[in-house]
Amino acid sequence: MSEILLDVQHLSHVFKLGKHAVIKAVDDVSFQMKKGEIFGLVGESGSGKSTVARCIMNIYKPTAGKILYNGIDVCDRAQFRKHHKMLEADRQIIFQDSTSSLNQRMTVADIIAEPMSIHHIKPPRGSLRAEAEFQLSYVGMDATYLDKYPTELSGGQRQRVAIARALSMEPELLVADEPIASLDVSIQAQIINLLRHCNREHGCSMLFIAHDLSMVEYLCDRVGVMYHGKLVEVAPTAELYANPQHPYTKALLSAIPIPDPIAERSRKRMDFDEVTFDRDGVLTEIAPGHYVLRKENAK
Amino acid sequence: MEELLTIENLSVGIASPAGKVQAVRDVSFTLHPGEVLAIVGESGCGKSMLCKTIMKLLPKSAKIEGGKIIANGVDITDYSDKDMRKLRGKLFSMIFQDPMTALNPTIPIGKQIAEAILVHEPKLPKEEVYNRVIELMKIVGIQQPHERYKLYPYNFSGGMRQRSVMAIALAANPKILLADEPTTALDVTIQAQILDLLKGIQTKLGTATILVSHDLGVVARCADRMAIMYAGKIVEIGTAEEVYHDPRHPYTWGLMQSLPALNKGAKELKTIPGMPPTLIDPPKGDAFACRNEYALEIDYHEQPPMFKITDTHYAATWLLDPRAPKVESPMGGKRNV
Repeated sequence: MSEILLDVQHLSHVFKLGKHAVIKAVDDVSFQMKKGEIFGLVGESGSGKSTVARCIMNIYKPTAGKILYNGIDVCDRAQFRKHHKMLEADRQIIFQDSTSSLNQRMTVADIIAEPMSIHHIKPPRGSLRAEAEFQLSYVGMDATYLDKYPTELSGGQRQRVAIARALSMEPELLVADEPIASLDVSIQAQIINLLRHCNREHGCSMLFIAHDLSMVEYLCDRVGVMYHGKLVEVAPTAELYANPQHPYTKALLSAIPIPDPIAERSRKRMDFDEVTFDRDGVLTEIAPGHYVLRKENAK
Repeated sequence: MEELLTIENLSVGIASPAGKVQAVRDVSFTLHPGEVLAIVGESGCGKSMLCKTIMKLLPKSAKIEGGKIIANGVDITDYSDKDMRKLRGKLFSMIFQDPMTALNPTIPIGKQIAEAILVHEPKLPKEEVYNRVIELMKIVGIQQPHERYKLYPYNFSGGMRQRSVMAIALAANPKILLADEPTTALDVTIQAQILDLLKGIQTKLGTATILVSHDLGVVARCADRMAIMYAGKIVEIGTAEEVYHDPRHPYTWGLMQSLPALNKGAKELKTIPGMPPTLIDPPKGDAFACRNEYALEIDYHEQPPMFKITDTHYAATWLLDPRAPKVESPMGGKRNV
């Protein structure tokens, strides 16, 4: 279990806006993921969570830094070319918006079977269609949906098709970029159960990106908190929720709604002032596995 | 206490190629002055449709098929568009889900707020309008209003845009504010700020608010009373404490159980099996029966009436009938806090 699957080292990504202005979307982010682990990445919108995910998936080319997947530097062209078949099959992503990530002109069966036909994998269940049917039943939908188009499905169903497509390759690493935002509470629970099942039964490691902190607490083993492109705190889930150290983490945790009117009304929300945010700190280990962004010489 | 808004047996149908969709079915509730009523339900359960019906912002294909809307003691069910225009903004105004599309991208924020004021008081002098805009921007928590008066929506973040939309909604001092999922498009931290603001406005200005949401956690923060909607009907209504601590309808149990906050340490999150029924041809009995593990025989044949639990707490489930078998709530009955 302790084997390291993904090692992100000093990752930075800069977006250019016009001639002079640049945005540091990701700024010197480092973290590691073990095999079989669910790592949660939380933060407000615009904090660079999705950019990290896209860099890991080779969708963006990072400005600086290294991403090692099973010891292979995926940003290095020569190494990527050498291993590209394995890398493309082993890493899968689920996007936030299932309306735009599924081709509107393909049927559900074609969408789910496409990765297999691209990689020339001989379908273990006879035909691609049988394989698609199996994957679909795995995410809790029956064969009647095989010939439908994405527009005929509801949001939750579309998201499940996107998950089935990702799982059809039996990935080693699944990157889920806000898969449950924009879904209903009861459907969110179904998707979360499904992801958890994949992790427990198939040992698939997961990078789970979300801004719903209560779901992250339920699902993830470790959590990283991002703010303005910086990773400000990394810790095991229980430790982070019980003992948050960085002021931004505290503010974020205090904003989770509790489904209890009496407790909720009396609770004080903490604010985080952007001005006090110190970009120049370093991640310091304050407890085993618990890292906080701090000034180097501060206690 | 005088009721601000009374809805009586309201039903709304929408014509669609596949047949008539019964979006709102026989809904009744009242809204007291200065309270926050939350309406919670899955998407497609008719909660947004209900809001639009109250504002009479229905699409052409939709029609009110029965029932009454009584606002401020006047029956407005048959009001024409012209009459409604006088009420909108003054009596009630609405905040929409998406602050990105609710604002005009080509007009500065201050001007858009001023526009809302001028519609109701066209002869107000320029200076007073400006002062009123600044005042509104301060109420909704926009810092440095003088500098921001001239900024455009694209200069604003999501939270700031939602605040601007709220300023426009409050421009003519409405008695009722309808907020249709005001925080769905926003982050957790911003969401908490906007909810606090809603609560603050309600205490400061005494505006009654109908808050529509699909998230029980969000609603807990500011609701006084809440209604749970399912398949176009209100299945449970009561004060926030009653609904959260002593829920009676199996659907409410299902919603609560799927919250991770109430599932700490559990192996699997509880889910509600199946999908909501289509409202083109709703089932004869209780619409929730086929997803309900506690469903009784009668649920499939006859719709349950609203059973009274306390003076403020009602639920529509046959489980509350004296003849029904005793079922313990899976939430552990009354939770003490």
